[in-house]
Amino acid sequence: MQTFKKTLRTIILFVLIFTLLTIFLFEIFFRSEVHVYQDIRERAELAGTLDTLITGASYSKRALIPDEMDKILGTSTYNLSASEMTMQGRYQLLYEEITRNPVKTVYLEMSMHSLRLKPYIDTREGDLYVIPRLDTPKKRLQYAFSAFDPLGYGWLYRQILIRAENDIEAYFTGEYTTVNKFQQRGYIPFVGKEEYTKIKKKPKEKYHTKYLIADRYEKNLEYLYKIIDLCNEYGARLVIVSIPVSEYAIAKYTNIQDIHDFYQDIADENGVTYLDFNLWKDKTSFKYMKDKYYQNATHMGNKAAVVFTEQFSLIMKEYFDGRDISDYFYTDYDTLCRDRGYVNAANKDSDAVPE
Amino acid sequence: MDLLSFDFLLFLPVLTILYFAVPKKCQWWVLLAGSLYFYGYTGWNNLIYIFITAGSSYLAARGIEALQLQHKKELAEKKASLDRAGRTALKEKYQRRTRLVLTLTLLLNFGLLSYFKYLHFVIAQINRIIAAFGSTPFEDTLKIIAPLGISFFTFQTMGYVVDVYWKKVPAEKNFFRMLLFTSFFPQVTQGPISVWSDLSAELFKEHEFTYRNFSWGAMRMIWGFFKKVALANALSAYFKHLSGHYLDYTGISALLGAFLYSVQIYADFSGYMDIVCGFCEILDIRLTENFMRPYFSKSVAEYWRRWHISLGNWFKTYLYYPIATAKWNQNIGRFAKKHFGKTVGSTVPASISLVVVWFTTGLWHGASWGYIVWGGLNGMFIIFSLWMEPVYDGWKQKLKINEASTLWRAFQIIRTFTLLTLIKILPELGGLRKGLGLWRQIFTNHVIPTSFDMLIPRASRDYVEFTVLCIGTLLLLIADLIGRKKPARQWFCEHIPYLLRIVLLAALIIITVWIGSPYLKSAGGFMYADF
Repeated sequence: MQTFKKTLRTIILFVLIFTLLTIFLFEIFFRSEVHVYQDIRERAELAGTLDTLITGASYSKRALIPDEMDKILGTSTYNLSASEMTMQGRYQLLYEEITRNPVKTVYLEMSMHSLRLKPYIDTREGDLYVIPRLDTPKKRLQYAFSAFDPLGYGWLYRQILIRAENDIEAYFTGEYTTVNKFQQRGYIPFVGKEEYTKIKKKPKEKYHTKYLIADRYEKNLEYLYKIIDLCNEYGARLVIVSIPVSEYAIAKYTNIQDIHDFYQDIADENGVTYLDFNLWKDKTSFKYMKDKYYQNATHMGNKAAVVFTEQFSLIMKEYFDGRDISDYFYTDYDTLCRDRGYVNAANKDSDAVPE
Repeated sequence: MDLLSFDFLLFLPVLTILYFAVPKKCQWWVLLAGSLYFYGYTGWNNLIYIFITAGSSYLAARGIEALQLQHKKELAEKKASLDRAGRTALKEKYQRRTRLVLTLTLLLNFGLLSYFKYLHFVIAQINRIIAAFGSTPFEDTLKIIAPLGISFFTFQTMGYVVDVYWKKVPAEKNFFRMLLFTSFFPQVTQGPISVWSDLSAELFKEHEFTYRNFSWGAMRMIWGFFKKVALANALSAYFKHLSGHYLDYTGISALLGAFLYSVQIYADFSGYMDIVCGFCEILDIRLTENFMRPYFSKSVAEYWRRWHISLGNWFKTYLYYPIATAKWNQNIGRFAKKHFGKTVGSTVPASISLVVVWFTTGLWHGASWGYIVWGGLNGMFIIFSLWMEPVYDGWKQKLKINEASTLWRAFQIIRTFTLLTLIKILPELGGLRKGLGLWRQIFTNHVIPTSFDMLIPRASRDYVEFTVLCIGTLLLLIADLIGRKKPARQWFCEHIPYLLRIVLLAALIIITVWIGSPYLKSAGGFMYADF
């Protein structure tokens, strides 16, 4: 009995010390704001004042500038989007803010990949970025245990340690800061590298050479419906938005229309609006979203974001004023591709390879 | 089951609780169930080979023992009626039968081992010869995947059958005990290769849970995980980089990279041993130790007495001595003594035996010319030292070298480590040609590196990681140095207060996850599991 007690005492003490050490290291990460997704303080300061929220992945993080939107729409907007954001992450952050702000409008960004991320595998990175954005240890733990499976715990643990290591390193190199110098109400410009040079592939050459494996995972769909319910519960108007990707990215997939239709059906079934800005026509002063405005196939650079946000806001203003905005959009991708001259008769859909 | 998986970490406490919860007489049944579950985890088909080996060894041992008893009985019955020639004839009759059983068992098991490990190599060599004569080689379409640990459990069980044949141990009557001896999970994949008398004594006795066993075992496991996951896995990336780009680096950098490989393989294999021995210690089972501070060896021969000790002992017992003491070999020795003198006469039988042992050791490690040359070089240095011993003694006397001096011992240790490192890397670059290429680089490229990145391949990618690896290597060295006088764990417990020990061990786990987890996939499993 004595042996058992002694062993148990050592195990408990070991687990306790291990946990305390872990908390200490994790806190370094959670408390620092050197990471671009550390926006707890900004959101806390704005709590109670936000009436418009954007939730999505990097597509919207790089494309929608709240300050610019507010100038046109007269709103108080925050962009909750983050890289690799999962549907659960979109819901969780929206929940955090909708419960403490008088939110009237929610923009939910949905891309061609949003429902395709395999839960617990492809979603790890995105879910990791959500955890430090939650403001209490309890919420972080709850989120970690619901978003990760046991096989992912080790990965998560290690990722947080690496980030803590980066913070410690930054502290010693004098780069450590608690000032949030990157974000503007959640918008993070895609800067640093030279613009325009990334995409050289011509849309016509790549026309219908790929198709997206359209696996839609149950867990992702579940959170999509949860977001719709959450908005209904808090009386917020939900607009599902697809942020424009490059011409090349639009042209290459054979089944991009199917994804559009799927979102449209969900929107129609639930009485919410779906605006696919990939189908946005060239009717503005901004000559469509040319590839040169992209940092890569799917992410806008800062110049494009400024122009796009302005045009997006103007369209939304018209829409909220009750005007018909359908003329701004192509009816489908076939029409768009024909009109843009992407169609390449030599490329057969049957030859397309999965991506 | 992978030792570095979440499943294994769950498996351990469940097995431990069950093991100590059942009546002591039944503890080995829990081990057997655990071992079969462990081995069958990745595919129940794999158990077939375990059953073949255990079954054939069991039947052979029982058969050999039955024949030996029958011989004894018949001898006792006919003692009065048999003269000396009759007794010899009777002995030879039974010897022929027991030898036949033994030979068939060895052929079956080593045949299986050879099929899995060497068939591709043999076909490749035949093809090479055929191609040299301008004919079309065979198409090697066989897809052979060797069962995990087959080299280890085959050697272990064949050692047992030979021991029964030599009447060193009685044949086991319970097949399930034999099955546990063959499949005991901590050692089935990478050894140690235990002998029946040692392991069976440990497995089938009644075991008590003690705090000392628990704490010492757990400490050793944590240290083992650190060595494997943090040190060996992370270092594997350095050596992989070097083997792919050795032509881009200078000789000194290539040599430093080779030294890192020596640390990697030691951390990998001894890390595995620490994990399994530590776990067995918790279960109150002592496994044969495989390492005794090998990098502090003063000669190649000494190194092989301290590295992979159980394999060395196996070869010594079942190959070296039988060949060295064989009548034909002794005759060669006598002939050499008569014609070339006493020194040559006494070293020739040992040298012949060593040639066979090292050729086999090379083959055991891998079916490639690289490993054969590796084995040959090890053997060559040992034989050369054996022959040159009188000459060296003369030199040492002339130069007035004090063999007990620290400086001389340090020189011997560094010389042996360098030599062994050069031999070690030869088969590890993916072919003998590449290994020799690295040697050429080391010995001919004398350019001084202009930057730290050029000095230590890949180090500049993450200085923090590299610093941790250096500290880890230093700890490995310190632990071995402490181990000369007493187990490092004893020193740790005597000098570090209880609470601080727990803090340090918890920190070690955190460091292990932090440094090692990114390499879990890229580094693959344990290196010796491939042998």
